[in-house]
Parts: sequence; structure tokens; C-alpha cells
Amino acid sequence: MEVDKGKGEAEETRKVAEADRDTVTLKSSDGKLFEVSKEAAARLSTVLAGMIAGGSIDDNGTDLKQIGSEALENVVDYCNKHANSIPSAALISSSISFNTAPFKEPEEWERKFVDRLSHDALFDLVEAANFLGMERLLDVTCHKISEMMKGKSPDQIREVFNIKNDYTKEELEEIRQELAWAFYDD
Amino acid sequence: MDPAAAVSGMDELVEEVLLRSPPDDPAHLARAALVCRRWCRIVTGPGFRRRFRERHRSPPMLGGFHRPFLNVPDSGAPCGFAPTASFRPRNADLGGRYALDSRHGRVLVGVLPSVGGAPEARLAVWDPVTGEQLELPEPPLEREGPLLSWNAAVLCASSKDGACDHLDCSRGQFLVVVVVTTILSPFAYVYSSEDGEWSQRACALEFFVCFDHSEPSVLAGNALCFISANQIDSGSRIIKYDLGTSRIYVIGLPPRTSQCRRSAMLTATENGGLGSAIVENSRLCLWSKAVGPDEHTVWTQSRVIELQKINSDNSVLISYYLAGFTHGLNVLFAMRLDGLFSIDLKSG
Repeated sequence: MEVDKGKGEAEETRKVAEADRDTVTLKSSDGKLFEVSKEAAARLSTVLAGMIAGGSIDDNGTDLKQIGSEALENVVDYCNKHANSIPSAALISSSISFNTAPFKEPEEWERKFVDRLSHDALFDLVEAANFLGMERLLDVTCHKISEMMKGKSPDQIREVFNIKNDYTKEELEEIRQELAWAFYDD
Repeated sequence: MDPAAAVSGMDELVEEVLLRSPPDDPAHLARAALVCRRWCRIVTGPGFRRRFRERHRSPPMLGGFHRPFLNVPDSGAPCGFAPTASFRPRNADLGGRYALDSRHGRVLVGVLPSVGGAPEARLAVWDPVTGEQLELPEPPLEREGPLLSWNAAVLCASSKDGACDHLDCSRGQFLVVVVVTTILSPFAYVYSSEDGEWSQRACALEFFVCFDHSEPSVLAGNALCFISANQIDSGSRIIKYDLGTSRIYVIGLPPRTSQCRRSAMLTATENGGLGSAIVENSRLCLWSKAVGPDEHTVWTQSRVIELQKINSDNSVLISYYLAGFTHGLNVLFAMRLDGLFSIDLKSG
């Protein structure tokens, strides 16, 4: 009986120690390990929050098979930077202003964060943010891509996204005419 | 797989990217629709359109309508539209008429009122996006005798009960309100697109009220407010037409705080109440009307902005005149001798 009790206590202590750890370890599809603040991960990613709450976090590295190491490194980097950033005055004031759109403009550090990414890394990060349910990171990365499309012709947009034009000439002309009210400057 | 192609292959991610399109640049989304059939299907789908409106709640400013000075009908563009984006109105030939008011995606066009002229308005409601123009029957004004002045407004029919967020109602039912004054009283007629006719008139007893037809009305709560013409006169008044009770109320402007009041304009406050902006000397004073019975109007001065301070070029202040107010955006336009400039009331 005594022994059993002791074993139970040890188990309990180990569990407490695990819960006390303030980081979680994530494993990319190519097997690399990354540590990220548990608080930031839970706050920024609905998927990781669910895994932490449900106890399905693996101490030896939680497998994220859909995310490559470069994208996961960026995710972790973003989480850590976010944990350290203080909300700017702009963010606070816009949250109490009338008619606030749910979207808040990226902050200076978030802009810099996505600006330094390569074309491929940016799109990889969009996918990772979407997979992990990271609303704010999805916001910031998609905003960047939208900015990249600014002023670009349909041909140039197809190039950015590697998309084939499946319209006929006649169809394009028809839609163009229908949307003529939007196209004065083109 | 190429990461960009992977993202563009997922409808939900394409939608996420396109939702961030700037609403004041309609060409941005239009070009996206020309990329491929799938993208076109996404941006024209009802789900995307709903999410886009929810995300960008304040309608974007695409441009403004201006009117010529009386008796100089040929100045400016035919429809008087000055664009601030790539948007251009469709079917912009208004047949010699001008924009009298615009709200909730519609423009009310008509003949500019003239003192002593025939009470003919030739009103039509125009959707500048689709180009549709709907001619209205003449309001029954001739029975009122000689008119001093009139003004008119167009608005979504659901403004009555506040049941609409006005993000996508430009093709729904609308109301046109015409307020007219004779020497004896101001009165109002309402046209409902649903009924296709003008309603019985409403009136109030108030002598010598004269509207400034160049001042569009303000929708505050479920009431349309029009300012009377002589703004320097201490007898300036506001004619309020309550859409709920179909009654007219006459209320006063804020008390003057300085001897020199140059220009006054009605505004809507951030919580949807009635406000007013008044230029006194070089100060822009913002007032808001307390909610309460209209017989005892209580105005509170909410802010004072020194126009000289927000003037970056340090030019000598000569004169300011308030030229316009945009609903939803909370932007005032002020006219100076050397041009027009805007004041964002959210930032000051």
C-alpha cells in the first residue's frame, strides 16, 4: 500500500512538473525541434491551445507533419516576438473607436517580420498559420500578399500565384465591360 | 508544390487574401475577378461579399458630389462627381439635373430649387454603381402656394426602425423626404418606393424658416435633420423630421459662444445622435445634442479644435467655411480661400 502511494505521488509530481513547464516543443515535418512559449502558443493558435488543454502535447516534440522546418521556425519566431511586444497606442485607440473594423492594421514589427520573408516563405507561412488556427498571423501574412497585388494587372497576379488563365478572350472582355465602373484608371 | 500555387489552390486561403483588399480601391477586387474563373466565383459569391462587408464596416469614400452656384449651371462635370478612387459612376447623364443628396448607396437627383420658380423638382433616384435611374412622380407641392425654400433627402426604407446596417441595402426599398417651407410653416412629404406614391404631408407651425438647399440633411437616429438657411442669424433653426412618428419638430442650434460665427453644419455623432460643427473665428466647435424632448434642446460642447494648429502650412488664416460632412467616416470638409481640406474628427 505504502509503495503504491509513493508511486502515485511521484506520478503526480511528474505531471505537475510537466504542467509547470512554460514552453512546448514542436516538431516539423522534417524532424526538427522548436521550443515556444506555452502562453504565447496557447494565446495565438487555437489548434495549439486545444492540444495544450487536451494534454496531447508531447514532451519530446509534438508532431506537426504538415509544416516544414522553415515555416515552423517562422511561426515560433512570430510567437516569441509577439510575446515580447507591447500593444502600441495605435492598437489601443483603434479598439475603442467607433465603427472599428475587426481587422487591425499590422504593427510596425509585424510589417518588418513579413517584409523580410522570401516569396516562398511568405506563402508557406500563410498555410502554416491557417493550419494552426493563428488568426493574427493569418491576418498579417494575407495583408502582405494583398499589398503585393496592389496595382498589378490580372496577368501579373497570375504570375505571383502561379495560376493559369482559364478565360477565353471574349469572356475576359465581357467581365471587363461589366466591371467598367471600377476600372477608370486602367 | 510551389507554395504560392498551394495557397491559391485553397479557396479558403484565396478568400482570406482577397478579404484584405482595400475597400476604397474597387479596381483591386475587380482585377482579382479577372485572374481566373475560380477567383471570380469566389469574389462574387454571397459568402465572400458578406464577409467583406462585415470586415470593412465603414463604407469607403469613392468620391463626392458637388453642385454649381445658382445661375451658373455649366460649371463642373455634368453630374458633379469628383472621384477620390478609381470608381466612376455609371449612366452619369442626369439630364440637366444635379445631385441633391446621397445616402445608403443611392443618389437623389433633381432640379435645383429656385426662389419664386415653378415648384417642379423632377426627382429621380440613381444607383451610381448599376447606373439605374428611377424617375419619381412630382411631389404635390403646388397646393401649398408660394414656396420659400425646399430640400430633399434619400435613405434606405429601414432607417425608420433601425433594422438595417446599410452595408448592402442599395437595391432594397427606399424613402425620399422632401421638406418645404412657406411663410407660415415648414412641411414634409415622403415618397416610399414600396407604395410608389407620396404620403400625406406633415407640418409644424414656425414662421419664416428658409432651408439652405446646399446643405444636405443629416440622419441622426431615425430622424432627418435639415438646417435652415441664415446661419449667422441667431434665429437659425433645425427642422427635424422624425421617420417613426412622421412629425416635424423645430429645434435650435447650439448657443453662440463667440460674436463671430462663420459657418455651421449638422453632423452625426459617433453614437448616432445629432451633432453640429460650428466655426467661430479660427476655432471649430463640435457640439452634441442630448437625448431628450425636442422642446428643451440641450447642446453640449464636446470638443474645440484650433484650425490654425492643424494647418500644416502655417498660412495666414483668412476664412473657413464648412463644406461637407461624410456619414460613417466622420470626416468634415472645410473650405478656405485657397482650397478644400478635410478634417478627420476621429483623429482631430
